[in-house]
Amino acid sequence: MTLETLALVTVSTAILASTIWPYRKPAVFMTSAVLLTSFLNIHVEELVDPRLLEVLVITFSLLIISGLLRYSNFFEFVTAKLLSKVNTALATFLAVNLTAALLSALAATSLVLLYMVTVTTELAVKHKVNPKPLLLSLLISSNVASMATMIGDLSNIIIATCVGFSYSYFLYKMGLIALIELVIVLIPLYLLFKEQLSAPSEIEEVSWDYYKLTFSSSILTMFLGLSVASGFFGISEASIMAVVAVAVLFIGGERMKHIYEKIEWEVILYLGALLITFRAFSHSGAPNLIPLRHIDPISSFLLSLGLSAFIDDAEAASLAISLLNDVKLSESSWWGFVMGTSLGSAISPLGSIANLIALRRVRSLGIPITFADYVKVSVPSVTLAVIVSLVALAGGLL
Amino acid sequence: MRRVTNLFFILGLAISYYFGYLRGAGVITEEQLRALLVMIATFLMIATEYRHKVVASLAGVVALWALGILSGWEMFLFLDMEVLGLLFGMMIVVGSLKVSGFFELLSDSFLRLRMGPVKLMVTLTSVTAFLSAFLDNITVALFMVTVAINLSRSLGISSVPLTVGTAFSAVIGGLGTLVGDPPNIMIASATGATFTEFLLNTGPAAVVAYLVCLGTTYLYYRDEFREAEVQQGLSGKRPKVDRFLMYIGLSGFLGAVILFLLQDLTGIPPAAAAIYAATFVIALGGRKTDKILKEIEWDILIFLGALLVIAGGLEKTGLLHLMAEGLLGLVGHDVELMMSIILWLSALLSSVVDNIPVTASLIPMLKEITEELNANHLWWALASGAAVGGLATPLASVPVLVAYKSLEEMGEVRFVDLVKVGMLFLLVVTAALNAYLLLRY
Repeated sequence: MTLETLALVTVSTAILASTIWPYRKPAVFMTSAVLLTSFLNIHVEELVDPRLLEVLVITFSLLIISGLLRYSNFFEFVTAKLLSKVNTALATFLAVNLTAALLSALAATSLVLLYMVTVTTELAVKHKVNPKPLLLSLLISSNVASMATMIGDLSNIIIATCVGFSYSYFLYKMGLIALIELVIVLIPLYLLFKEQLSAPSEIEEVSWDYYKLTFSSSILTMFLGLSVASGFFGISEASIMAVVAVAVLFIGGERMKHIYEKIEWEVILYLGALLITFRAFSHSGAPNLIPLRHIDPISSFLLSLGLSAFIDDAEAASLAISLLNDVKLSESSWWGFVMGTSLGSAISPLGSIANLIALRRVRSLGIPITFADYVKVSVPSVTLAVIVSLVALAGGLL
Repeated sequence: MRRVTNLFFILGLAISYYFGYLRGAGVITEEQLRALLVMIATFLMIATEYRHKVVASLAGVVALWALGILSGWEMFLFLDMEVLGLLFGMMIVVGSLKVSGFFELLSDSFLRLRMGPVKLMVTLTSVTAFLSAFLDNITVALFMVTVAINLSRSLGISSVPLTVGTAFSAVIGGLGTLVGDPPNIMIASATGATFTEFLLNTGPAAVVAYLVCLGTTYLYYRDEFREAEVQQGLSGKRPKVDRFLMYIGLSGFLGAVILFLLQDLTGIPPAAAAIYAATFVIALGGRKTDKILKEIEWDILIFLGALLVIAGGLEKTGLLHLMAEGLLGLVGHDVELMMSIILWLSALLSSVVDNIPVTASLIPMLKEITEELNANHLWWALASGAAVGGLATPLASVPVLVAYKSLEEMGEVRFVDLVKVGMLFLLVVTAALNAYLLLRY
């Protein structure tokens, strides 16, 4: 067996294993990284480059900012305030979905989904409303909306950093299409669930810690504002985000201790091991075994859509970057890829670890949502968004 | 604590003023002054616990970047993957043993022994020192301190002698091997020294330090030991252990140690050996993998990485070269004197600040000195000093902190009492190590 074949077998096995045992992703990719670097006899340092570091720094910063939002009960506050203003079934449906969508574009999707799932279930149970339609729709809409920003999803961070898209350029290109697709996805979802939706009764007043909330929202604004303006300062997004994250920990002092203690280090470990695995895979020459000469935007979109429906979108993005390393891909093809990974992860629960974590939480709250339940709803609702993406790509709008 | 903090800040200002004066006099450059101030501020924040040590060190890194001393990529180049990889791998291996219940089993075995107080102390402290030479000494201290307290109760004596003796043994044990303590790993990475070289050089130093520490403990607490009864030994059920995981963890651990010992033959560096062992453990860890990964102490890894970057900033500006030249100018080419200075300097600095930043700052300086003097054995002085500095105060090392927290909760010791004992032990053990190093080299 040649080294290339060995690398291909190792990577394929790792992707398969991580799909079968999604909660053991860090262990799976750590093993594959060690095996590949040993087979190829290369030192890890040779595989690390500034782009890989940037991916890790951005993820670390995002986890800290998301942790700060969790600490200040920002997610609960935004949801409760929005829901207190609505009194119809449609308005409730829109409030839950738009909040989940907006937050998913701005913070770590897994954390947002986890909180939104809990808040929505508690709300539904309290007001005797069926939680299933709301939960299913918010999972789908948050995945669709995560395509809007470079920090919306791990796959976006990987693609944007490796290709060199800035935060503001990413938002400029993907923001509008994400919004259009979100609206398009919400229409069939509403029609599907119309009969099962109802408005909650009056929301109880909860006392909020406004000091914490002001602090966290100011930091979030600064984080996003500086990320958008990073190009203006001539500084990379990763550097700006890292400075804001460290400043949060430093200024917050003792109060920030438990944000720091609750950082999901497994995400960093998974991402680091994943990127090293695929760097080693590229280094082995294995991508040449799959000859890809030219990929147009539509093929790129369909390829990523198909991949992300069955494997994690971060893995799909890493695999694509390895395979397309030597292929000169047009910018539109990369946007096709970004849309494909987001819509792919909206189609199936396997498409993102965030979906699986949220579904596990839903089940732990006593609401059985099966794979079939999810797909029955996601396929018809996301299909329209897929068509919009194809039209946008075919029409050269991106 | 507030007073101590203020004192440290006044000291910081004084140092800054002094270096500002040096800058005015043209001794150091603007960039060197900035890098130095960043390092001083970081050390002060760590020593005074003004901020969590990881946050303080990350703030130092950000300051270096903001002041234009290091770029993001240069920071990466100063991260020592050998050090971080080795620590990371060993944390997973030790984590698997911890999750399997191995340490509970070990503690239980101690409580079942029928022994007199002195024999028990020798057994407990020697096992602690031995384990600490190979495993993470925080984990060892956490378990063995609990054993020491339980044993003291069964002997009918104060918990202080056995607990203090155990914590000090955990600190000293780390000196024995390359993997015993982060400073040793950092020194090995900087010098290319193998596991066997460490074992042959710092191993005997650890034995000397342990024997001196044991003797001092006995002499200091002899009245307590005289009053003790013979332990009757516990009976009943054994603690629950995941035997499969324990065997996996022990196999991984032994495999790593064998690879460390065979480094000259196989050419596999210690970091790779530890990562292989860790991969073996997590690949076979099954459902417990998640729990094992949660045992990784990211705090230590990030703290260490950040300090390597800060020391890198000093190195890049040429300040450490300046310091090395200054020290050489002061001491001349007297290797024995230099060895004693390195030993005492690192021991005293490590008694106030964590030994990781001390070692990270001294390594680049010592590199130049050892080359100039052609005296490689100065590295063993640094390893010895950095290790035993932890005896002095609960702020300086985790094992002593663990002992202090446990004893304080029981109302058996005050901070000042423990510092007094620690300083005494530090002086005695460092003096013994100085004599050993001078005789041997």
